[in-house]
Amino acid sequence: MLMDWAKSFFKEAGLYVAFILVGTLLLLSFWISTNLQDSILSEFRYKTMTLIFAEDPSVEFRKLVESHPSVVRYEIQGAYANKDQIRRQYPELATVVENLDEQYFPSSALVTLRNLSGFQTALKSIPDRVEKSIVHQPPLKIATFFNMLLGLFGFLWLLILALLIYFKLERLAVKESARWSLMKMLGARASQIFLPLCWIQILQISFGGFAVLLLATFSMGYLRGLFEWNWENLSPMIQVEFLIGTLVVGIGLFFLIFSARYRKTALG
Amino acid sequence: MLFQFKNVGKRFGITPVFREMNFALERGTFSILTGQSGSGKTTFFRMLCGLERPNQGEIIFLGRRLTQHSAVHLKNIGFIFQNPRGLLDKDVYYNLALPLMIDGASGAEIDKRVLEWASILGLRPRLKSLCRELSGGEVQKVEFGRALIRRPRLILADEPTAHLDPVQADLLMDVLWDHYKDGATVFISTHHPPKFHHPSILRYHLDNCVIRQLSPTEMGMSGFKGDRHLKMQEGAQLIEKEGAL
Repeated sequence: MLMDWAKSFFKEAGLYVAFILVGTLLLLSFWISTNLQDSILSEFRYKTMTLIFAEDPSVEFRKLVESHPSVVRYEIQGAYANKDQIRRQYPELATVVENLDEQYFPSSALVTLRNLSGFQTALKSIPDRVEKSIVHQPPLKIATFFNMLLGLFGFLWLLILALLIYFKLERLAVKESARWSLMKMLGARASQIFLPLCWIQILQISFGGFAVLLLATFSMGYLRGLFEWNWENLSPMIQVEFLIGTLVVGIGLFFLIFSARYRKTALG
Repeated sequence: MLFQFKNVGKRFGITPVFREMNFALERGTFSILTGQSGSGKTTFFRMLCGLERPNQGEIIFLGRRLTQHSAVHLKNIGFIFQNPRGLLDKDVYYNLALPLMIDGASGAEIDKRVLEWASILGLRPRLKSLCRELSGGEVQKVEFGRALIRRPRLILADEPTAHLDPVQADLLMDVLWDHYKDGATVFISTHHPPKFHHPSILRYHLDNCVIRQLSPTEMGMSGFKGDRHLKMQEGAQLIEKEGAL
Protein backbone atom coordinates (compact mmCIF):
# COMPACT_ATOMS: atom_id res chain seq x y z
CA MET A 1 0.00 0.00 0.00
CA LEU A 2 2.73 2.45 1.09
CA MET A 3 4.90 1.19 -1.76
CA ASP A 4 2.15 1.85 -4.29
CA TRP A 5 1.62 5.32 -2.88
CA ALA A 6 5.37 6.06 -3.02
CA LYS A 7 5.55 4.77 -6.60
CA SER A 8 2.70 6.94 -7.83
CA PHE A 9 4.01 9.93 -5.82
CA PHE A 10 7.48 9.74 -7.39
CA LYS A 11 6.02 9.12 -10.85
CA GLU A 12 3.80 12.20 -10.62
CA ALA A 13 6.46 14.35 -8.94
CA GLY A 14 8.99 13.35 -11.63
CA LEU A 15 6.55 14.23 -14.38
CA TYR A 16 5.77 17.54 -12.70
CA VAL A 17 9.47 18.47 -12.53
CA ALA A 18 9.85 17.39 -16.18
CA PHE A 19 6.83 19.54 -17.07
CA ILE A 20 8.51 22.58 -15.48
CA LEU A 21 11.93 21.88 -17.05
CA VAL A 22 10.62 21.21 -20.56
CA GLY A 23 8.30 24.22 -20.26
CA THR A 24 11.38 26.33 -19.40
CA LEU A 25 13.29 24.95 -22.39
CA LEU A 26 10.27 25.66 -24.59
CA LEU A 27 10.17 29.29 -23.44
CA LEU A 28 13.93 29.67 -23.81
CA SER A 29 13.95 28.33 -27.37
CA PHE A 30 11.01 30.60 -28.16
CA TRP A 31 12.92 33.56 -26.72
CA ILE A 32 16.10 32.78 -28.68
CA SER A 33 14.11 32.17 -31.85
CA THR A 34 12.23 35.46 -31.44
CA ASN A 35 15.50 37.33 -30.89
CA LEU A 36 16.93 35.78 -34.06
CA GLN A 37 13.84 36.73 -36.03
CA ASP A 38 13.82 40.26 -34.69
CA SER A 39 17.48 41.01 -35.25
CA ILE A 40 19.32 38.95 -37.83
CA LEU A 41 16.46 37.58 -39.88
CA SER A 42 14.56 40.86 -40.20
CA GLU A 43 17.63 42.22 -42.02
CA PHE A 44 17.01 39.57 -44.61
CA ARG A 45 13.35 40.24 -45.06
CA TYR A 46 14.39 41.37 -48.59
CA LYS A 47 17.07 39.78 -50.75
CA THR A 48 20.34 41.70 -50.76
CA MET A 49 22.76 41.54 -53.68
CA THR A 50 26.29 42.90 -54.01
CA LEU A 51 27.45 43.68 -57.54
CA ILE A 52 31.10 44.25 -58.37
CA PHE A 53 31.70 46.09 -61.62
CA ALA A 54 34.67 46.03 -63.93
CA GLU A 55 34.29 49.80 -64.37
CA ASP A 56 32.23 52.53 -62.75
CA PRO A 57 28.50 51.82 -63.08
CA SER A 58 26.90 53.34 -66.19
CA VAL A 59 24.03 55.81 -66.32
CA GLU A 60 21.82 52.93 -67.50
CA PHE A 61 22.57 51.04 -64.32
CA ARG A 62 21.75 54.09 -62.20
CA LYS A 63 18.49 54.51 -64.13
CA LEU A 64 17.71 50.83 -63.65
CA VAL A 65 18.11 50.85 -59.84
CA GLU A 66 16.22 54.15 -59.68
CA SER A 67 13.21 52.89 -61.62
CA HIS A 68 13.02 49.10 -61.19
CA PRO A 69 10.03 48.15 -58.99
CA SER A 70 11.96 45.32 -57.27
CA VAL A 71 14.57 47.64 -55.83
CA VAL A 72 13.88 48.70 -52.27
CA ARG A 73 17.11 50.66 -51.81
CA TYR A 74 20.59 50.77 -53.28
CA GLU A 75 24.00 52.09 -52.52
CA ILE A 76 26.69 52.61 -55.15
CA GLN A 77 30.29 52.92 -54.06
CA GLY A 78 33.00 54.09 -56.39
CA ALA A 79 36.60 52.80 -56.35
CA TYR A 80 37.77 55.56 -54.03
CA ALA A 81 34.99 54.96 -51.54
CA ASN A 82 35.81 51.23 -51.45
CA LYS A 83 39.50 51.97 -50.98
CA ASP A 84 38.63 54.30 -48.13
CA GLN A 85 36.37 51.77 -46.53
CA ILE A 86 39.06 49.07 -46.56
CA ARG A 87 41.54 51.55 -45.14
CA ARG A 88 39.16 52.29 -42.28
CA GLN A 89 38.25 48.66 -41.78
CA TYR A 90 41.85 47.49 -41.54
CA PRO A 91 43.79 50.39 -39.99
CA GLU A 92 46.92 48.24 -39.63
CA LEU A 93 47.05 48.06 -43.46
CA ALA A 94 46.30 51.76 -43.93
CA THR A 95 49.72 52.67 -45.34
CA VAL A 96 49.72 49.71 -47.74
CA VAL A 97 46.24 50.50 -49.00
CA GLU A 98 47.12 54.18 -49.32
CA ASN A 99 49.90 53.43 -51.78
CA LEU A 100 47.77 51.18 -53.99
CA ASP A 101 46.30 52.61 -57.17
CA GLU A 102 42.52 53.02 -57.29
CA GLN A 103 42.25 50.68 -60.27
CA TYR A 104 42.74 47.83 -57.80
CA PHE A 105 39.55 48.82 -56.02
CA PRO A 106 36.53 48.11 -58.20
CA SER A 107 33.24 49.95 -57.98
CA SER A 108 30.39 48.12 -56.33
CA ALA A 109 26.68 48.38 -55.60
CA LEU A 110 24.64 46.95 -52.73
CA VAL A 111 21.04 46.49 -53.88
CA THR A 112 18.13 45.43 -51.64
CA LEU A 113 15.46 43.69 -53.67
CA ARG A 114 11.90 42.50 -53.41
CA ASN A 115 12.18 40.23 -56.44
CA LEU A 116 15.66 38.92 -57.12
CA SER A 117 15.02 37.08 -60.41
CA GLY A 118 13.15 40.05 -61.95
CA PHE A 119 16.10 42.33 -61.23
CA GLN A 120 18.63 39.78 -62.50
CA THR A 121 16.76 39.60 -65.85
CA ALA A 122 16.69 43.40 -66.10
CA LEU A 123 20.41 43.54 -65.28
CA LYS A 124 21.21 41.56 -68.44
CA SER A 125 19.73 44.33 -70.61
CA ILE A 126 22.35 46.96 -69.60
CA PRO A 127 25.88 47.15 -71.02
CA ASP A 128 27.74 47.13 -67.65
CA ARG A 129 30.12 44.23 -67.14
CA VAL A 130 29.46 42.67 -63.77
CA GLU A 131 32.60 40.95 -62.51
CA LYS A 132 30.82 39.22 -59.66
CA SER A 133 27.43 39.20 -58.06
CA ILE A 134 26.81 37.89 -54.57
CA VAL A 135 23.33 37.17 -53.17
CA HIS A 136 23.36 37.42 -49.39
CA GLN A 137 21.40 34.60 -47.69
CA PRO A 138 19.92 34.87 -44.20
CA PRO A 139 21.14 32.26 -41.67
CA LEU A 140 18.10 30.09 -42.38
CA LYS A 141 19.66 26.94 -40.95
CA ILE A 142 19.93 28.50 -37.49
CA ALA A 143 16.33 29.69 -37.74
CA THR A 144 15.18 26.23 -38.90
CA PHE A 145 17.14 24.63 -36.07
CA PHE A 146 15.47 26.85 -33.46
CA ASN A 147 12.05 26.30 -35.03
CA MET A 148 12.61 22.54 -34.85
CA LEU A 149 13.77 22.89 -31.26
CA LEU A 150 10.63 24.89 -30.51
CA GLY A 151 8.45 22.20 -32.12
CA LEU A 152 10.26 19.42 -30.28
CA PHE A 153 10.00 21.08 -26.87
CA GLY A 154 6.37 21.99 -27.60
CA PHE A 155 5.57 18.35 -28.40
CA LEU A 156 7.49 17.05 -25.37
CA TRP A 157 5.81 19.60 -23.14
CA LEU A 158 2.35 18.55 -24.34
CA LEU A 159 3.24 14.87 -23.97
CA ILE A 160 4.50 15.35 -20.41
CA LEU A 161 1.43 17.41 -19.48
CA ALA A 162 -0.85 14.69 -20.92
CA LEU A 163 1.07 11.96 -19.04
CA LEU A 164 1.00 13.96 -15.81
CA ILE A 165 -2.78 14.36 -16.06
CA TYR A 166 -3.29 10.77 -17.19
CA PHE A 167 -1.39 9.21 -14.27
CA LYS A 168 -3.03 11.55 -11.79
CA LEU A 169 -6.50 10.63 -13.07
CA GLU A 170 -5.66 6.92 -13.06
CA ARG A 171 -4.62 7.17 -9.40
CA LEU A 172 -7.78 9.11 -8.56
CA ALA A 173 -9.94 6.68 -10.54
CA VAL A 174 -8.62 3.71 -8.56
CA LYS A 175 -9.31 5.54 -5.30
CA GLU A 176 -12.65 7.03 -6.29
CA SER A 177 -14.09 4.45 -8.69
CA ALA A 178 -16.74 3.27 -6.18
CA ARG A 179 -17.94 6.83 -5.57
CA TRP A 180 -17.90 7.77 -9.27
CA SER A 181 -19.79 4.60 -10.12
CA LEU A 182 -22.39 5.25 -7.43
CA MET A 183 -22.77 8.88 -8.45
CA LYS A 184 -23.20 7.80 -12.07
CA MET A 185 -25.94 5.41 -10.97
CA LEU A 186 -27.60 8.21 -9.02
CA GLY A 187 -27.77 10.30 -12.19
CA ALA A 188 -24.94 12.73 -11.44
CA ARG A 189 -23.72 14.74 -14.40
CA ALA A 190 -20.07 14.15 -15.31
CA SER A 191 -19.40 17.82 -14.54
CA GLN A 192 -20.34 17.23 -10.87
CA ILE A 193 -17.29 15.00 -10.57
CA PHE A 194 -15.14 16.85 -13.11
CA LEU A 195 -15.36 20.38 -11.70
CA PRO A 196 -14.08 19.74 -8.14
CA LEU A 197 -11.14 17.81 -9.61
CA CYS A 198 -10.61 20.50 -12.23
CA TRP A 199 -10.03 23.23 -9.62
CA ILE A 200 -7.19 21.22 -8.09
CA GLN A 201 -5.77 20.65 -11.57
CA ILE A 202 -5.98 24.36 -12.41
CA LEU A 203 -4.02 25.17 -9.25
CA GLN A 204 -1.38 22.57 -10.05
CA ILE A 205 -0.96 23.72 -13.66
CA SER A 206 -0.91 27.41 -12.65
CA PHE A 207 1.78 26.73 -10.08
CA GLY A 208 3.77 24.80 -12.69
CA GLY A 209 3.31 27.65 -15.21
CA PHE A 210 4.61 30.22 -12.69
CA ALA A 211 7.57 27.97 -11.91
CA VAL A 212 8.35 27.76 -15.65
CA LEU A 213 8.27 31.56 -15.97
CA LEU A 214 10.48 32.01 -12.93
CA LEU A 215 13.02 29.46 -14.10
CA ALA A 216 12.96 30.84 -17.66
CA THR A 217 13.58 34.41 -16.41
CA PHE A 218 16.49 33.20 -14.32
CA SER A 219 17.93 31.22 -17.27
CA MET A 220 17.54 34.21 -19.63
CA GLY A 221 19.52 36.37 -17.20
CA TYR A 222 22.24 33.72 -17.15
CA LEU A 223 22.34 33.48 -20.97
CA ARG A 224 22.56 37.28 -21.28
CA GLY A 225 25.68 37.18 -19.14
CA LEU A 226 27.10 34.29 -21.14
CA PHE A 227 26.57 35.69 -24.67
CA GLU A 228 27.03 39.42 -25.19
CA TRP A 229 24.30 40.40 -27.62
CA ASN A 230 21.47 42.85 -27.88
CA TRP A 231 18.91 40.49 -26.30
CA GLU A 232 15.29 41.61 -26.30
CA ASN A 233 13.24 40.89 -23.17
CA LEU A 234 10.46 38.31 -23.31
CA SER A 235 7.45 40.60 -23.26
CA PRO A 236 5.00 40.37 -20.33
CA MET A 237 2.24 39.78 -22.89
CA ILE A 238 3.98 36.60 -24.07
CA GLN A 239 4.35 35.49 -20.45
CA VAL A 240 0.64 36.01 -19.76
CA GLU A 241 -0.22 34.24 -23.02
CA PHE A 242 2.01 31.33 -22.02
CA LEU A 243 0.23 31.03 -18.66
CA ILE A 244 -3.24 31.21 -20.20
CA GLY A 245 -2.24 28.81 -22.99
CA THR A 246 -0.88 26.34 -20.44
CA LEU A 247 -4.12 26.51 -18.48
CA VAL A 248 -6.34 26.13 -21.55
CA VAL A 249 -4.31 23.20 -22.92
CA GLY A 250 -4.13 21.61 -19.45
CA ILE A 251 -7.86 21.88 -18.81
CA GLY A 252 -8.62 20.67 -22.35
CA LEU A 253 -6.39 17.62 -21.90
CA PHE A 254 -7.83 16.99 -18.43
CA PHE A 255 -11.37 17.13 -19.80
CA LEU A 256 -10.57 14.73 -22.67
CA ILE A 257 -8.78 12.20 -20.46
CA PHE A 258 -11.43 12.46 -17.73
CA SER A 259 -14.28 11.96 -20.23
CA ALA A 260 -12.62 8.83 -21.61
CA ARG A 261 -12.02 7.50 -18.07
CA TYR A 262 -15.53 8.34 -16.84
CA ARG A 263 -17.12 6.58 -19.83
CA LYS A 264 -15.34 3.42 -18.69
CA THR A 265 -16.68 3.73 -15.13
CA ALA A 266 -19.31 1.07 -14.51
CA LEU A 267 -22.84 2.15 -13.63
CA GLY A 268 -23.45 1.17 -10.05
CA MET B 1 -46.33 1.86 -20.22
CA LEU B 2 -43.11 2.23 -18.24
CA PHE B 3 -40.99 -0.64 -19.53
CA GLN B 4 -41.55 -2.83 -22.52
CA PHE B 5 -39.37 -5.78 -23.50
CA LYS B 6 -39.83 -6.66 -27.17
CA ASN B 7 -38.57 -10.13 -28.22
CA VAL B 8 -35.61 -9.73 -25.91
CA GLY B 9 -33.00 -12.45 -26.02
CA LYS B 10 -30.00 -12.69 -23.75
CA ARG B 11 -27.28 -15.28 -23.53
CA PHE B 12 -23.96 -15.58 -21.81
CA GLY B 13 -21.68 -17.42 -24.20
CA ILE B 14 -23.77 -20.27 -25.53
CA THR B 15 -26.02 -20.39 -22.46
CA PRO B 16 -29.35 -18.66 -23.14
CA VAL B 17 -30.92 -16.71 -20.26
CA PHE B 18 -33.94 -15.34 -22.14
CA ARG B 19 -35.47 -16.27 -25.48
CA GLU B 20 -37.68 -13.84 -27.35
CA MET B 21 -39.10 -12.53 -24.12
CA ASN B 22 -41.96 -10.04 -24.15
CA PHE B 23 -42.77 -8.21 -20.96
CA ALA B 24 -44.47 -4.96 -19.99
CA LEU B 25 -44.31 -3.07 -16.72
CA GLU B 26 -47.12 -0.61 -16.21
CA ARG B 27 -46.82 2.65 -14.35
CA GLY B 28 -48.08 2.64 -10.74
CA THR B 29 -47.83 -1.11 -10.17
CA PHE B 30 -46.29 -3.17 -7.40
CA SER B 31 -44.67 -6.14 -9.10
CA ILE B 32 -42.76 -9.07 -7.70
CA LEU B 33 -40.61 -11.35 -9.80
CA THR B 34 -39.78 -14.77 -8.40
CA GLY B 35 -37.74 -17.63 -9.73
CA GLN B 36 -35.24 -20.18 -8.64
CA SER B 37 -31.61 -19.30 -8.06
CA GLY B 38 -29.86 -19.06 -11.41
CA SER B 39 -33.10 -18.57 -13.32
CA GLY B 40 -31.97 -15.10 -14.49
CA LYS B 41 -33.73 -12.76 -12.04
CA THR B 42 -30.65 -10.65 -11.47
CA THR B 43 -29.86 -10.56 -15.21
CA PHE B 44 -33.41 -9.43 -15.88
CA PHE B 45 -33.06 -6.79 -13.17
CA ARG B 46 -29.74 -5.60 -14.57
CA MET B 47 -31.35 -5.30 -18.00
CA LEU B 48 -34.08 -3.13 -16.49
CA CYS B 49 -31.40 -0.92 -14.95
CA GLY B 50 -29.49 -0.73 -18.21
CA LEU B 51 -26.48 -2.56 -16.79
CA GLU B 52 -26.86 -5.44 -19.26
CA ARG B 53 -27.78 -5.11 -22.91
CA PRO B 54 -29.89 -7.69 -24.69
CA ASN B 55 -28.35 -9.75 -27.50
CA GLN B 56 -31.54 -9.35 -29.50
CA GLY B 57 -34.78 -7.38 -29.32
CA GLU B 58 -35.12 -4.06 -27.56
CA ILE B 59 -36.09 -2.59 -24.22
CA ILE B 60 -38.33 0.47 -24.36
CA PHE B 61 -38.46 2.80 -21.36
CA LEU B 62 -40.99 5.65 -21.40
CA GLY B 63 -41.46 5.31 -25.16
CA ARG B 64 -37.76 5.39 -26.05
CA ARG B 65 -35.05 2.80 -26.23
CA LEU B 66 -33.38 2.44 -22.84
CA THR B 67 -29.97 3.27 -24.36
CA GLN B 68 -31.29 6.57 -25.73
CA HIS B 69 -32.00 7.99 -22.27
CA SER B 70 -29.47 10.32 -20.69
CA ALA B 71 -27.96 9.64 -17.29
CA VAL B 72 -30.28 12.25 -15.77
CA HIS B 73 -33.28 9.88 -16.05
CA LEU B 74 -31.57 7.77 -13.38
CA LYS B 75 -32.50 10.46 -10.85
CA ASN B 76 -36.10 9.25 -11.04
CA ILE B 77 -35.18 5.66 -10.32
CA GLY B 78 -34.28 4.18 -6.95
CA PHE B 79 -32.01 1.17 -7.32
CA ILE B 80 -31.60 -1.36 -4.53
CA PHE B 81 -29.07 -4.06 -5.34
CA GLN B 82 -28.54 -7.49 -3.85
CA ASN B 83 -24.92 -6.58 -3.14
CA PRO B 84 -24.66 -3.17 -1.49
CA ARG B 85 -23.16 -0.41 -3.61
CA GLY B 86 -22.64 2.03 -0.72
CA LEU B 87 -19.36 3.76 0.05
CA LEU B 88 -17.87 1.76 2.89
CA ASP B 89 -15.28 4.41 3.77
CA LYS B 90 -17.94 7.09 4.22
CA ASP B 91 -20.34 7.46 7.11
CA VAL B 92 -24.05 6.67 7.02
CA TYR B 93 -24.94 10.36 6.79
CA TYR B 94 -22.85 10.86 3.64
CA ASN B 95 -24.26 7.73 2.01
CA LEU B 96 -27.83 8.84 2.66
CA ALA B 97 -27.16 12.44 1.67
CA LEU B 98 -25.31 11.72 -1.60
CA PRO B 99 -28.39 11.71 -3.91
CA LEU B 100 -29.55 15.02 -2.42
CA MET B 101 -26.08 16.53 -2.79
CA ILE B 102 -26.14 15.49 -6.46
CA ASP B 103 -29.51 17.23 -6.81
CA GLY B 104 -28.03 20.37 -5.28
CA ALA B 105 -30.33 20.42 -2.22
CA SER B 106 -29.55 22.93 0.53
CA GLY B 107 -27.72 21.85 3.68
CA ALA B 108 -30.84 22.30 5.82
CA GLU B 109 -32.95 20.24 3.41
CA ILE B 110 -30.33 17.49 3.35
CA ASP B 111 -30.16 17.45 7.17
CA LYS B 112 -33.94 17.25 7.47
CA ARG B 113 -34.38 14.46 4.95
CA VAL B 114 -31.42 12.42 6.18
CA LEU B 115 -32.66 12.59 9.77
CA GLU B 116 -36.17 11.66 8.67
CA TRP B 117 -34.95 8.60 6.77
CA ALA B 118 -32.48 7.60 9.45
CA SER B 119 -35.41 7.58 11.90
CA ILE B 120 -37.66 5.54 9.58
CA LEU B 121 -34.92 2.95 9.06
CA GLY B 122 -33.69 2.92 12.67
CA LEU B 123 -30.25 4.24 11.68
CA ARG B 124 -30.24 7.48 13.67
CA PRO B 125 -27.73 6.32 16.30
CA ARG B 126 -25.43 5.10 13.50
CA LEU B 127 -25.39 8.28 11.40
CA LYS B 128 -21.76 9.05 12.16
CA SER B 129 -20.58 5.45 11.81
CA LEU B 130 -18.63 4.39 8.76
CA CYS B 131 -20.53 1.95 6.59
CA ARG B 132 -17.76 -0.63 6.98
CA GLU B 133 -18.53 -0.71 10.73
CA LEU B 134 -22.20 -1.64 10.16
CA SER B 135 -23.80 -5.09 10.09
CA GLY B 136 -24.99 -6.51 6.74
CA GLY B 137 -28.58 -5.67 7.63
CA GLU B 138 -27.73 -2.08 8.52
CA VAL B 139 -25.81 -1.66 5.28
CA GLN B 140 -28.89 -2.92 3.43
CA LYS B 141 -30.98 -0.32 5.25
CA VAL B 142 -28.55 2.38 4.11
CA GLU B 143 -29.06 1.09 0.56
CA PHE B 144 -32.82 1.48 1.03
CA GLY B 145 -32.44 4.97 2.42
CA ARG B 146 -30.15 6.10 -0.38
CA ALA B 147 -32.48 4.66 -3.04
CA LEU B 148 -35.65 6.18 -1.57
CA ILE B 149 -34.55 9.50 -0.09
CA ARG B 150 -35.38 11.32 -3.34
CA ARG B 151 -38.86 9.74 -3.39
CA PRO B 152 -38.25 8.30 -6.87
CA ARG B 153 -41.20 7.45 -9.11
CA LEU B 154 -39.73 4.06 -9.97
CA ILE B 155 -38.06 1.66 -7.54
CA LEU B 156 -36.16 -1.35 -8.84
CA ALA B 157 -35.02 -3.76 -6.14
CA ASP B 158 -33.04 -6.95 -6.55
CA GLU B 159 -33.28 -9.25 -3.53
CA PRO B 160 -33.65 -6.21 -1.26
CA THR B 161 -34.22 -8.21 1.90
CA ALA B 162 -31.70 -11.00 1.34
CA HIS B 163 -29.46 -9.93 4.23
CA LEU B 164 -32.23 -9.17 6.70
CA ASP B 165 -34.11 -11.02 9.39
CA PRO B 166 -37.89 -11.41 8.83
CA VAL B 167 -38.85 -8.47 11.07
CA GLN B 168 -36.43 -6.07 9.36
CA ALA B 169 -37.41 -7.46 5.95
CA ASP B 170 -41.06 -6.73 6.67
CA LEU B 171 -40.19 -3.22 7.84
CA LEU B 172 -38.42 -2.46 4.58
CA MET B 173 -41.19 -4.05 2.52
CA ASP B 174 -43.61 -1.74 4.34
CA VAL B 175 -41.48 1.21 3.27
CA LEU B 176 -41.68 0.05 -0.36
CA TRP B 177 -45.43 -0.49 -0.02
CA ASP B 178 -45.86 3.05 1.32
CA HIS B 179 -44.03 4.36 -1.72
CA TYR B 180 -46.31 2.37 -3.97
CA LYS B 181 -49.35 3.81 -2.18
CA ASP B 182 -47.91 7.27 -2.83
CA GLY B 183 -47.96 6.55 -6.57
CA ALA B 184 -44.53 5.08 -7.23
CA THR B 185 -43.95 2.02 -9.37
CA VAL B 186 -42.19 -0.77 -7.49
CA PHE B 187 -40.52 -3.79 -9.06
CA ILE B 188 -38.93 -6.37 -6.80
CA SER B 189 -36.98 -9.41 -7.88
CA THR B 190 -36.73 -11.93 -5.05
CA HIS B 191 -37.10 -15.50 -3.95
CA HIS B 192 -38.36 -14.32 -0.57
CA PRO B 193 -41.64 -12.62 -1.54
CA PRO B 194 -43.35 -10.50 1.12
CA LYS B 195 -45.75 -12.26 3.39
CA PHE B 196 -48.66 -10.01 2.63
CA HIS B 197 -50.93 -9.98 -0.28
CA HIS B 198 -53.03 -7.46 -2.06
CA PRO B 199 -54.96 -7.94 -5.29
CA SER B 200 -53.07 -5.12 -6.96
CA ILE B 201 -49.72 -6.85 -6.49
CA LEU B 202 -48.59 -8.36 -9.76
CA ARG B 203 -46.56 -11.52 -9.48
CA TYR B 204 -44.30 -12.86 -12.18
CA HIS B 205 -42.32 -16.03 -12.36
CA LEU B 206 -39.15 -16.59 -14.32
CA ASP B 207 -38.51 -20.15 -15.41
CA ASN B 208 -36.83 -21.82 -18.35
CA CYS B 209 -35.82 -18.52 -20.00
CA VAL B 210 -39.41 -17.26 -20.03
CA ILE B 211 -41.14 -14.76 -17.75
CA ARG B 212 -44.90 -15.04 -17.22
CA GLN B 213 -47.48 -13.51 -14.98
CA LEU B 214 -48.92 -15.88 -12.41
CA SER B 215 -52.63 -16.50 -12.25
CA PRO B 216 -54.23 -16.49 -8.79
CA THR B 217 -54.42 -20.28 -8.77
CA GLU B 218 -50.74 -20.63 -9.60
CA MET B 219 -49.59 -18.35 -6.87
CA GLY B 220 -49.82 -20.98 -4.21
CA MET B 221 -47.69 -23.31 -6.33
CA SER B 222 -44.78 -21.25 -7.47
CA GLY B 223 -42.71 -19.37 -5.03
CA PHE B 224 -45.45 -18.64 -2.49
CA LYS B 225 -45.67 -21.98 -0.77
CA GLY B 226 -44.49 -20.49 2.49
CA ASP B 227 -47.04 -17.71 2.35
CA ARG B 228 -49.53 -19.19 4.77
CA HIS B 229 -51.64 -16.04 4.74
CA LEU B 230 -52.20 -16.00 1.00
CA LYS B 231 -55.90 -15.80 0.27
CA MET B 232 -56.96 -14.30 -2.97
CA GLN B 233 -60.23 -12.41 -2.95
CA GLU B 234 -61.24 -10.39 -5.95
CA GLY B 235 -61.67 -6.70 -5.15
CA ALA B 236 -60.41 -6.90 -1.61
CA GLN B 237 -58.48 -3.80 -0.55
CA LEU B 238 -56.12 -5.57 1.72
CA ILE B 239 -56.51 -9.24 2.44
CA GLU B 240 -54.09 -9.92 5.16
CA LYS B 241 -50.78 -8.80 6.28
CA GLU B 242 -48.15 -9.80 8.69
CA GLY B 243 -45.60 -7.72 10.50
CA ALA B 244 -45.62 -3.97 10.35
CA LEU B 245 -47.92 -3.31 7.38
